[in-house]
Amino acid sequence: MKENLQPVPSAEMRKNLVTGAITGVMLGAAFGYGFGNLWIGTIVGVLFGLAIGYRLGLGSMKMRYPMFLVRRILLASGFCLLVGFGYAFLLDHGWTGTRAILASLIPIAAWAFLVVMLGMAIASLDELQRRIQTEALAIGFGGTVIVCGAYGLLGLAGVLPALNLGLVIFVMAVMWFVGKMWTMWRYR
Amino acid sequence: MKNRLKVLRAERDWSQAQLADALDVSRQTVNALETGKFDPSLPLAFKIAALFECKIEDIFLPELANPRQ
Repeated sequence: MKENLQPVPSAEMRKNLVTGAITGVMLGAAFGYGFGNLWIGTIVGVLFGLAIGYRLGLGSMKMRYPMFLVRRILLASGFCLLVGFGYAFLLDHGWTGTRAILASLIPIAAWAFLVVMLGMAIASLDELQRRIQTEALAIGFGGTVIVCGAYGLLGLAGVLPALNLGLVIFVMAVMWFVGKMWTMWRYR
Repeated sequence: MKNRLKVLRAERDWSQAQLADALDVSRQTVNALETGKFDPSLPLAFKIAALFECKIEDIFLPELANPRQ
């Protein structure tokens, strides 16, 4: 974990605020649409995003990754959430046939963007942190296979409902977190 | 692998954070190196040796299975 406690230049603060606002718009629009009020969601999202951008710009946080990568990860996360709602919106509004296939694949672009940004973030770490992340990902992958495999088998037996993608991603995130805590404890 | 990193750092009265800054790694990495939980890559070992103006083998010592070897 490289710590960056340098004062943040004003140009960086502007970039952080703009990034925060854009991410906030995406996040607010997605949740606003999901909960029935697009405008309130968007306004709350912008304010929330500006607050996050301002906090990042204060420069007193221990930053694990370079600031530009934090901004890109924020944007990619907001984009993922927006298209997660957006493709469902398109499917709900009469996109069928070839257009439905295209709409269904839109989230892949956002996921790819996020994965590339996370890959760049991991590559920017020092060698111990990269090892911790690699071991955490291995534990996450193995744990997901075991948990989802067991769930899938129980689903086939009719004990549990069928496995869905959301559950797989949730299990993967939990297993990665457990793996990271475990490896950080090992190298503490 | 054993190492003399902690001794060399103490001789210079550096904190782990100062050494981490000089090596461009995290403090956790310095701590893991000092406690022998993590062996550095060759480029990092060269960087450490250059910083302390020693040879690599003056800092890092192999842990031999048979002490008579």
